[in-house]
Amino acid sequence: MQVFKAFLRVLKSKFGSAVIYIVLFFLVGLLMTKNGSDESVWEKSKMDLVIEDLDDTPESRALTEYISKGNRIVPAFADEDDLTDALYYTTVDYAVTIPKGFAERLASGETEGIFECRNIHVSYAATNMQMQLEKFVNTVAAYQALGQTTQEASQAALAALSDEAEVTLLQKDTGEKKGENSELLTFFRYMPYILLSVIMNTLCPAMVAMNRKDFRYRTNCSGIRPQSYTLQIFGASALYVGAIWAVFVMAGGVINSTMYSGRLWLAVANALLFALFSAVLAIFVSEFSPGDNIVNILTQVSTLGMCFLCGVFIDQSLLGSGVLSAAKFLPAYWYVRVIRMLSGDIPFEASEVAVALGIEAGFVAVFVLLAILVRRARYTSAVSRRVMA
Amino acid sequence: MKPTVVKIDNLVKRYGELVALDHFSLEIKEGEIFGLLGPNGSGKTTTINCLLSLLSFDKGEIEVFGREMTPTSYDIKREIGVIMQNVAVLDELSVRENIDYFCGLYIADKEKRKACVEDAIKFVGLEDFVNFRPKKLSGGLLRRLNIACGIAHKPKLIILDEPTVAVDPQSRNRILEGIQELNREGATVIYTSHYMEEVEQICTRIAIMDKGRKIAEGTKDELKGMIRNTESVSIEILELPEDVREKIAHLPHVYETDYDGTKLTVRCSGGRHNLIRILAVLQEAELGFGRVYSELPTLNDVFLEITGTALRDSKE
Repeated sequence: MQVFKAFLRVLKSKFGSAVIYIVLFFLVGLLMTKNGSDESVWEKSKMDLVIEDLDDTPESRALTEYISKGNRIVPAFADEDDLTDALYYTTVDYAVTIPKGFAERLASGETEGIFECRNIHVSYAATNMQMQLEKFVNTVAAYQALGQTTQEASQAALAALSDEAEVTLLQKDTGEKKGENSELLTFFRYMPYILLSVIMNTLCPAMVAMNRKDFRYRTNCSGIRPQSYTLQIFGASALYVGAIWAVFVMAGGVINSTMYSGRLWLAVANALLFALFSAVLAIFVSEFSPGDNIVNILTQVSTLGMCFLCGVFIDQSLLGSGVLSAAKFLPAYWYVRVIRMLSGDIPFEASEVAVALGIEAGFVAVFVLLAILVRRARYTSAVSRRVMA
Repeated sequence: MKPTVVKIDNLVKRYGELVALDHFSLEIKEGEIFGLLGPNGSGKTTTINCLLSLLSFDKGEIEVFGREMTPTSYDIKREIGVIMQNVAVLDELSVRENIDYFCGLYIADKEKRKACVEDAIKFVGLEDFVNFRPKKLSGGLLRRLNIACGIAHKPKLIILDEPTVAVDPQSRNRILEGIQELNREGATVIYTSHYMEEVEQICTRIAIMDKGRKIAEGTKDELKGMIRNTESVSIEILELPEDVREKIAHLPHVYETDYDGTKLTVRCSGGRHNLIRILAVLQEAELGFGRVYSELPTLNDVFLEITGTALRDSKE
């Protein structure tokens, strides 16, 4: 068991780089679970508004009524400095002064500079208010062009601009909260990212270390049989990957206070298959004996690429058909598909779940074969290239 | 007569058109420190790799401890310790863990292994660095760790393949002394190197290799006895008339003279008092001279005379 123990020690030394991923993942998982929002009613953001109507005409009152809607009106300040302070300290977001003669200037077709606006902090709401004011003036001008008086045009603009489209929330985000165990299944949906990151970042460099040419030479000179060496390496890898998978599965249950039962076991099996895929991918990559930097780049590319393409980070329903067609050639697509079926995003079909799991298992088998082929090819090439010394 | 530990008979190894080992034969007896000396590319490491069954070969036979050596001769491999040219340890393990790992590949018993590991640490003088990772060690200490990993299981046959490459003189001496100590404790040693001084210093018998062939074999005295040169006399002299040089060239036992304008080199074959006779000629001619050296032949001279090229100058 000497190789087994040494390999676990090497894995342990590589684990530091994976800790940051694990901590962040658990943190995000915890936040998602505890801070999940049930909001289904949406409201426009309100701003604190000071309106000073010095004109006091039907036109100015129509404008006042229009911009008052959806905002909190703050009484006007007697002192100009007080208003400046209020704007600075954001107790007031925006101040509009409608000067005397506003109605007349509106009637004469003026649109520029017919009221005074003040704000200090640039914000989305302030810009929106600016647009509202311009919209009102332009709408009045449009009604005037149709032959209405300024007073009629102001009332018509007020009525027209007060209409709001009714918005109904049909589906929030990816459908979480829809079915049972939705938080846990959301946790599972993100699991490919963490499994790939952790396993690639640790198993791959550990395998590279154990496959280092001189180290293998010396090991081959000893009394240990090659089969025993390989078995011990795979045994330690299996133990490590199994432990990583078990920790995440258990953590998912604990964080979401859920006991595994029924169809949830399919999610567990799904995660196991993906963990196995991550392991064989790491072994496959390690056969090329890349350096730590290359491993890091490959890990980032494969992990982020697969997660973005296959619907781990963005729901598959939001991805284009072209992207989804390409994603079908990656195991994470089938992983996410199983999770979507379990969470009720798409209808649950036992046969389709079986097909998806089977395809994931197929990916595992293919990469095992590829790793064996590369190992043999590299060994043959190494023997033929070995220079005499 | 001591038993044969290693017997290589007519070994041929080809890499395509290149013949790495050309009917190479060797016999090493128990208790020897056997030196395989040759320039880079002469076939030393190929010989070792074939001996350890890390490489297949085209023709020939290899026996270790009287038994045929094959890739599955695990019982034989357990008796061999290997110290490779490159440091072959795991950077992720400490000094002690590395030695324990390699020792554990040979010795399953935990207590016995523990004692062996401690002995090896003590032997190479790494007591103060047992918890260090290899990356924290200097080149010399790293080489010592490399040796400890190869000898911790107390093998009967130790193979060292250029273990002192890129090692400082102090560590090199320590390593060479260590090898001699291992030999005194009963191990048979095969030592490959292209540093002739090392081979000359520690080896009891030497084989000189070139282009995959064994070109000479014997003790260092036997090897030196194979060549004409028994003494080289060098004299710093700024002026040497041709007639004086001729006179020196005709002295008894002198077979070659060489003068480059500042230094006269006289090579002698056998005989005694060569130096006195040469100096007498110079004094007789009333010629002033500077420093005088008298050198006995080295293995480089042996290699030079047999192959026509200097050992140090040979290219890979």
